[in-house]
Amino acid sequence: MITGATKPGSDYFLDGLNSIRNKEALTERQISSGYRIQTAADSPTEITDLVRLNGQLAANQTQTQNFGRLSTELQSADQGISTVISAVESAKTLGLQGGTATSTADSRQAIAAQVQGLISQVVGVANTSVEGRYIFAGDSDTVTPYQSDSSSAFGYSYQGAASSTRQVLDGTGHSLYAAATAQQLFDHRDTSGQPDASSVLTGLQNLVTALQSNTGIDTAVSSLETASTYLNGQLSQVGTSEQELTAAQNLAATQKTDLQTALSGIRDTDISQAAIDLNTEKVAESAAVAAEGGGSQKTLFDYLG
Amino acid sequence: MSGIFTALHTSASALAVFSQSLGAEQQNVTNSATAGYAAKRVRVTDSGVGGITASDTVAISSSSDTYADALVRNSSSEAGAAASQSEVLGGLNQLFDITGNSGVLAAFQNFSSTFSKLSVTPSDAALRTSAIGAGQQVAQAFGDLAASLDTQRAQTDTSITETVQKINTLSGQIAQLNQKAQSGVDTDTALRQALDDLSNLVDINVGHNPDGSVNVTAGGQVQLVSGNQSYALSAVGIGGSAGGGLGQVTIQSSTGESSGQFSGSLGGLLNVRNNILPGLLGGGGQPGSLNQLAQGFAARANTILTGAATSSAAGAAPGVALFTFDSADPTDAARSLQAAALTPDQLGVATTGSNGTANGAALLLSGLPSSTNTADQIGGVSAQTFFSQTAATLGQQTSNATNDQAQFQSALTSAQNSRQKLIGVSLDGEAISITADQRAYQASAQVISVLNQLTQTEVDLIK
Repeated sequence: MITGATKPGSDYFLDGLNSIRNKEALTERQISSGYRIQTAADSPTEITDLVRLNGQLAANQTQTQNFGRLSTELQSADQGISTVISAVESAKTLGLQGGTATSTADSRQAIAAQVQGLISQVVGVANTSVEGRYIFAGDSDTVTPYQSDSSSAFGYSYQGAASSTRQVLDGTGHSLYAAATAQQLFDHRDTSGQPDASSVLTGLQNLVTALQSNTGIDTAVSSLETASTYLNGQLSQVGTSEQELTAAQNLAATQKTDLQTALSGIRDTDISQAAIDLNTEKVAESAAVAAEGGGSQKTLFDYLG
Repeated sequence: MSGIFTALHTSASALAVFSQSLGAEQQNVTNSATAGYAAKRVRVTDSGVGGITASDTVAISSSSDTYADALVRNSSSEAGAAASQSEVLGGLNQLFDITGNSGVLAAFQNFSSTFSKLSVTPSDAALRTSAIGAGQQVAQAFGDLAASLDTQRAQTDTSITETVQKINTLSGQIAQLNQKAQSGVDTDTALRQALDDLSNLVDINVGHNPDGSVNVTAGGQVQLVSGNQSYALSAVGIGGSAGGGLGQVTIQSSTGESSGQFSGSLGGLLNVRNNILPGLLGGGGQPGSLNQLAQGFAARANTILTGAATSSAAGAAPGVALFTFDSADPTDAARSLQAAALTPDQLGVATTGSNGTANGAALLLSGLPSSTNTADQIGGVSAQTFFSQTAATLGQQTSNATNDQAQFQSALTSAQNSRQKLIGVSLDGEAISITADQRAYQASAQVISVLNQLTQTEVDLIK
């Protein structure tokens, strides 16, 4: 038996034991954390993919939040335009009532007052805000779109931006919703900047004037029909945007699942395999210790007496 | 009568030889567990007369083997280099969080997320404030990482200094052992142990002198010990940088010699200090990947912000740059990166021109960390990928060092065991030798006893 500071072979044993214990520690860390990769040194060749997937997942989560925010906005827009369409229908009915031969000057004045109320209702819808943002104010979404203005024909003037250029993109870069301004929706203008037949507010105001003067009621009612058709077209566009948003949300949900699956495939510990590995390593450690402990330590001196 | 006296003389000589042999064997058994001890061997040189005679010479020699020693020392140097690199790189590797929970990557993700939310409501003052805060987080993350790397650099410098001090201490011990060897003291074991320890710290070449002393050089050409004289090493260039990135640390001997190539712990530390850390923090003519990333990202974000307008309204003011950094020194970008304290209305969120949109700049900034647009790229890849590649490179170096450490430690163990088999004490062999020598000694003693009786008988006959 060759001896030295340690028994020959002891260093091999200790190196091997150290190696087994390092593997055990790694496997235990992977099991307890649930992650196979925690630092770049754990699997350097997979780090770029892991970081990319992590970034895409984070972006997906933000996108989903943005879609939720946009969904609320679109629902409010849908509800608001629907409300205005109902108001226009009510105004048409009221106009028809005021235009009948049985109506009196007093009843027409009362009807005109009701239509005036509908104008206020439309202005209320135009001033809808979602989470502090006026959704029909165009790019100036911190400004109340319609504010009282005695010089205006219907008592309010538009203070919002001329257009809404904000873009909310889906995962493919497609713009989901081009929001219309309150003026574009409810006080539509021609190329010269004058209200045209699609202007709801002008149509309602014309009806009020017609009822009060008992002239041109039928014409006013008929122009509301044009405005109603225009609004239904706008509502349809909002509906199309809602459908596209739903599709984008579904796609984002699918992508989230795909990303999570791909990320998990790279990053997460295969628990069952890790458990088997840990058991194997424990057995190897026990076997090594037993084998080392069982070896004969005797020399010839022990037999010489 | 003369034949009896000759026989008596021969037996006495044999007793002396066996006594010396037993003495050597006793020394071997006593030192069987002494680290670095080389077994003693008794060699009798036959004078040619036949049998053991007074004219035979007896020499006790060491079983030491210079090749086995050199193999152990080479392996020890490689193991030392791998161990020191593994330790330092392990710390560096931890600084680059690739999970996105903290650090630069988390700051990038927050920057992207915050500007993405801002893009939905670009006029929202609270979200603008959050976006400015996200920029500050990016600057903070780069600053923190640079500071942590600086701390690691300082610790590495300290380790280099301490290692050099240990080398100098061991060199001094070896010179003292040389002096003893020159005066005839057996220093074989102590010298072997000291050289083994030294080789773990730095790669050495050992030249053996006839008087038992050794000459030692490190790094192939730097003299450490010559006879009873040792030459101290010193680390030059220790400390931080005052521009231009990290300076190189070099090792110089008191003789004025220096070498750029070392192995052992010192070599491992120098490799991290002179190659890997400058690759991250800059130095030696390279900007450092961390600075490259910080500058590339900040400069591009500023370009987008200042090219944008604070809103889509006509006559809206242009955006203000968010980031500031030392543009005169590319190796200082990460350390000096700061986010300006902008007010929400100074943040450029809208793109201008015929296709401008109210949230165009916010969208560009939200995509900046992962953008593959040429103008947004750093070194041909997105900022996020650049970071991950930097982390992966460091991770690969760490992984290699860890694997090397295990491999070279195994090689060292193998070399040590081989040497131990060659020069170590075999207790079984010593037991056999002692038994044989003891029997021979007893036999010689018995011969002397018989010769003594014969002599007495002859004397009695003469009377």
